[in-house]
Amino acid sequence: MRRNAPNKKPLIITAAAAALLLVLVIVGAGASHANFFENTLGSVLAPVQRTAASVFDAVGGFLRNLFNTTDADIENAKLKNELALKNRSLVEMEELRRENERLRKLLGFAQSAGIENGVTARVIGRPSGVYFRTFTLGAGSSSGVDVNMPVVCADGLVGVVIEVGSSWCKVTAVVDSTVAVPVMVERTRDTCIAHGVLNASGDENRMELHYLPADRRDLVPGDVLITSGIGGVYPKGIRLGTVTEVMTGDKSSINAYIAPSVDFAHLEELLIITGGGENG
Amino acid sequence: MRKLLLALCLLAAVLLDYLIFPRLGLSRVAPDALIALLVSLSVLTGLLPAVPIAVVLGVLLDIGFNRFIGMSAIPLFISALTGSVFYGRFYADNIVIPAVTAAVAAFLKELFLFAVLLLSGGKTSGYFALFALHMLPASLLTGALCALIRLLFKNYLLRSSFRLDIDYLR
Repeated sequence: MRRNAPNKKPLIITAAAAALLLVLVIVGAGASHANFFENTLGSVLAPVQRTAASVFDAVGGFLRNLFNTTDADIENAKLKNELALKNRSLVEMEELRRENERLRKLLGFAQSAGIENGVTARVIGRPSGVYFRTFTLGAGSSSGVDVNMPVVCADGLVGVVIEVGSSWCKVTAVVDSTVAVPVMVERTRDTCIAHGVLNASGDENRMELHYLPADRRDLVPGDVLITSGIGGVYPKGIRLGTVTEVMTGDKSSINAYIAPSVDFAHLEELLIITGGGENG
Repeated sequence: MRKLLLALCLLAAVLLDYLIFPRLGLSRVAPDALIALLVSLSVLTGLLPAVPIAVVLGVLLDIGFNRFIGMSAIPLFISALTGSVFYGRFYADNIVIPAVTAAVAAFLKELFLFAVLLLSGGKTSGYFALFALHMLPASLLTGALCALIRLLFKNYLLRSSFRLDIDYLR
C-alpha cells in the first residue's frame, strides 16, 4: 500500500519564486537603465499608472473644490497663488540681475542661464512610505530623458532622474535622505551642500545645510538657497528653498535647516531639463 | 467568484497603499494593506497562492513605484512565508494570531527598508523617534487592519470550499 507522500509542490513553487526574486534583485541592483524585463513591464504599467493618476487627480480636485467653497477660501487660494508667482519672479529677477553683473565683469561670457530644452512629464507614481522619496514620471528615453537629468517645477528644484525606461523614468526628490545638492546662498554667494534627511519626528520635507565655510556663516532665516551648478548635475540658479533655522554651535555639523520651496505632496506636472542651463 | 473577490481585494490593497494613503498624506503612519491581506491569506491557505502572488505583485509594484526591485517584493514574500508558518495550526476563526503575524511582518518590512536606506547612504535623525512615531504605529495599524480583514471576511474565509477552490494552484 502506497503511503501519502507530503505534497512538495508548494515548497518547490516557493523556492522558485525566491530564486526568481533573487535574480531580479541582483540583475536590477545599481542599474540606471531599465533592463528588458523591467522595461517591458514598466511600459505596460505606465499607461495604467497614468490613467489611475488622472482619475485620482480628478477625484482629488473635485473633493477639494467641494470643501473649498466659501469666498474666503477661494480668495485665500488665489492670493497664495499670486504670492507664490510674485516670489518666484522676484527671485528670478534678483538672480538675473546678479548674473548680469557677473556677465559684465566677465567679458566674453555671453551665454545667459536658462533652460533651453525640457520635457514635461506627469507624475504617475508617488512614493509609499517614509524611507525613499522616488516619483515615477510618464516620460522616458523615447522622449530624450536620460539618467542624471534634473527635474524642476514652477516652484523650484524637484530632483534628479535615477532610472530610465522607454516611456517612464524614476526621479529621486531632493528631500530624499540619500540625495545631496550643491547649493549657494543667494545673498552671500557662499557655496555649501543641502542634504535630504529622514526626519521621523517632524516635517518630512525639511533638509539640512552642511559644509558652509566656518568664517562665512552669516546666514539668517529667510535666506534663499539656489543650486550652485557645482558637480554638473543641477544647472546653476534653480531655487531649492529657504533657510528656516540657523545652527550656531560649533559642535553640530549642520549649519542650518532648510524648507524646500517645492510642495512634494502635490506634484503633478514636472519639467525634465534635457539641455540648456549653465551646466546643461 | 472567490478568485474574483481575491483579485478585487488585492487591487483595493494596492490602491490603498500606493494611491490613496500617499495622496491623503498618510504615508508617515499608515497600515500596509497588502501585508495585512497576504498574511490573512497565507495563514489560511499556506504557501500557495500567497507566495507567488506576493512575488509577482511585489515585482510589479517595484517596477511601477519603487527605487529598487525587491523593496516591496522581498517584504511581501517574507510576509507570505511568515503567515504560512501558522497554516493549519489553529482554528480558522482565530483573529489574534493573524493580526500579530501581520504586525510582526510589517515591522520586519520597516526594518528591511531602514537597513536598505542606511546601506544606500541615507541620513536620518532620531532613531528612537523613527521607531516610536513610524515603525511601531505602522506595524500595529497593519495588525489591526489584518484583524479587520479577518472579521469582515470571516464567513468567506471560514468556508472550506475556498481552499478547494484554489487547489488548482497546488
